[in-house]
Amino acid sequence: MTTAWLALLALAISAMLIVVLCQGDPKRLRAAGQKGAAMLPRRRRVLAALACLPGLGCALSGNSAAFMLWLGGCALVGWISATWPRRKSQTGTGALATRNAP
Amino acid sequence: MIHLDKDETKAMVAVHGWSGICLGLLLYAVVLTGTAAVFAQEIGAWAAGHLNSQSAFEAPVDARVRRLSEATPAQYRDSLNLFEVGDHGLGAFFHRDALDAKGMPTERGIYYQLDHGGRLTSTVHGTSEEVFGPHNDDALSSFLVDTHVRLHVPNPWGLLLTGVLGLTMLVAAISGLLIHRHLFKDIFTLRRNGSPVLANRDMHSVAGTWSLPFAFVLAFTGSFFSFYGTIGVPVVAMAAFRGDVQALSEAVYGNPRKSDPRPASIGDLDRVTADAVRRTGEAPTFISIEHFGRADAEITSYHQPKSGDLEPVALLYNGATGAFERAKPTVGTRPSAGGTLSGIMGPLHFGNFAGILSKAIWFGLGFAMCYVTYTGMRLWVVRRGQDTRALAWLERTLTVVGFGLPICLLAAAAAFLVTMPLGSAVYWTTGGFLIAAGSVIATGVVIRSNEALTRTLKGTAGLIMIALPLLRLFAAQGPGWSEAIASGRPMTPAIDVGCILMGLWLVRAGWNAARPAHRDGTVIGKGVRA
Amino acid sequence: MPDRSNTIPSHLRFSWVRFLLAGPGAIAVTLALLAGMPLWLPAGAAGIDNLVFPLVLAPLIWAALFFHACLDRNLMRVAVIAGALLLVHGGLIAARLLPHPVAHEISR
Repeated sequence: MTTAWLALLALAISAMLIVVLCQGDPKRLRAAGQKGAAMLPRRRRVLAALACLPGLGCALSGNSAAFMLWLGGCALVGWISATWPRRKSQTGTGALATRNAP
Repeated sequence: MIHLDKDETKAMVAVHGWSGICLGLLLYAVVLTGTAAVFAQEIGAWAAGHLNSQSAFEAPVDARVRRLSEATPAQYRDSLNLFEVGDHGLGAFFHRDALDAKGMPTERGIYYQLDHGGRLTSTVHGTSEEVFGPHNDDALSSFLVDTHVRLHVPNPWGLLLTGVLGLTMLVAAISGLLIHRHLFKDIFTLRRNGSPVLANRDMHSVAGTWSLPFAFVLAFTGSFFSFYGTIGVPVVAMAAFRGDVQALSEAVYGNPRKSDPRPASIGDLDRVTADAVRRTGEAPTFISIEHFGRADAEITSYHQPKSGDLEPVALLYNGATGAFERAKPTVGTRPSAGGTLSGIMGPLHFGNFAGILSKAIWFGLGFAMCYVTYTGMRLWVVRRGQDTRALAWLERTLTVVGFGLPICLLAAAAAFLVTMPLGSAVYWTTGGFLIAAGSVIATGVVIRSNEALTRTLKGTAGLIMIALPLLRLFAAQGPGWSEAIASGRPMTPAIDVGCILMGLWLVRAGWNAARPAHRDGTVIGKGVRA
Repeated sequence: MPDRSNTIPSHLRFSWVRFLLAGPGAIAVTLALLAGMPLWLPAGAAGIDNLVFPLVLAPLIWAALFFHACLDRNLMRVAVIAGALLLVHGGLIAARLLPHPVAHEISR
């Protein structure tokens, strides 16, 4: 398997898990007023560990280029999923933050 | 995440904030131009209408080099560098080691530029600093790279400046990590509807957290490149070789071999390049020939990293016979930890180790770091904006630089496309940038509000982006999409499509922001959505 | 006249020292390390590690010195460590560059 395909496969697996983690992030949901839908911490830790496995696989296979592509790709996927606008139905009345800035 | 006590956290917040705000605008310029420079080669080919897809080294070079060597005075035939230039043309620099006017080591010789068909298009005499300036067809890519590397400040001050900015980014990355107590808990949290300070803080910390490893790597490798030649090499040479920079260079890069100055014709370069392509699977990016025309001549062929690797490849050939000798590291005579470390600095910084995929990811990460820099400065302004209105000028300055710099770069591209057919692109690429800069600054001064300024700059950037493909086709008489794809240049239509889509998005964003339903009462809060 | 020095917080009283150690001090020590490390680092398989590692790691060396100066509560410790690094590597550089006194005796 070429470096590009290996990296894309690893990235695709990790990306799915990152998006799931994003959707179930407790603080993110709290900010959107959806406290009840938060993922349990233990499950989040397991998913986070699983999300790292494809990159570990690239590194252990000796493919340093694929590892760097996976790492950079995950960073972009994580950022994009965190900043992706929520649908209006997902925002609640608790979305307004009232505390002062630190 | 990392628990510091109150005083330590205060110190780190001060370091993070002040390093960012004092040098943030310059850092933003370096990061933005660096992001664009990832695709400098592709942008240059797109703008200049390049159609050749075969490497210059896959065409016959031996006869061309011999012809050039016969025309070159013997004093400059000590060494030869060969590389691709323009539309897969060949650049050949015959030179010898010399000292410049300040007594610093340099290379002096004659630089020839040939087109893909082997026709001589340019001959320049001088030192390596003098001969490798921009040309008409690569003025845009040269401008982008030069802005990023030294902000157009003459060396060594330009390199020192960008080196300091690299250290600033390193400090900001490390201090940001130290002050963020809940790095992983906050990694997906973006409270857009909160107070402006909270919203900006979340935008900044989310982008910063995700791009943190790369901010560290790019800051570290960037400052290495800036300080390497200006400070590092002279200092190490002073201590280890009593100031002999040439001796240091020989120790690190040289190929020790028994001296044999007897004249000998150079080996068949076409056989060498064909063998190099066969061994590595791709054409060389650079060929260096030492002791040209002597029995102890050496040819080193440099290549992109092999699939799966980060470190570039170098092949060593006997210069007189053209026979393959061995693969060697790019630094040092045999594999070593130091050689590998320095060998990967380039690929890690430029993101060019795995073709378009690595460049695309590095481009995205560069954009993320521009976002981090910009939102960090916005956060600083927004925090203090609630206390005093006197910082409104700073908010405008931030908007002028944040949105104005991309406009200036786009204007430089537009100026290049219009003036390249006229042969004056070197002058007008910079001229277009400066004219746009003056216009953006003037707009920032006279326009009534920061929101109006943001809308105007977004819309202007969008319109220029939409115009670029049209200028490329009609003003620069560039190739159409079918012609480009048929010639093996799919990046040309890809960049056109990217410009149009991004341009439409920016125009729409500016238009939507201008509609009355989107106005709200807070001045600084509106800027949050910028 | 009341003694006011005790009313000033310690982190402000010595802030100029910390500023000097984190600023010019860190730069000076980094340059000394850059010049001195090639003289004692092992050369490695290709005989270049002692030259390359200081060149490549210089930004990280500076960052380590900078953050140590910023974060260590004990300013004396910061000064001692920086001073020791400066003296040791400065001594190595001086020993390398200055002419050896024994050679002069022999030449007479």
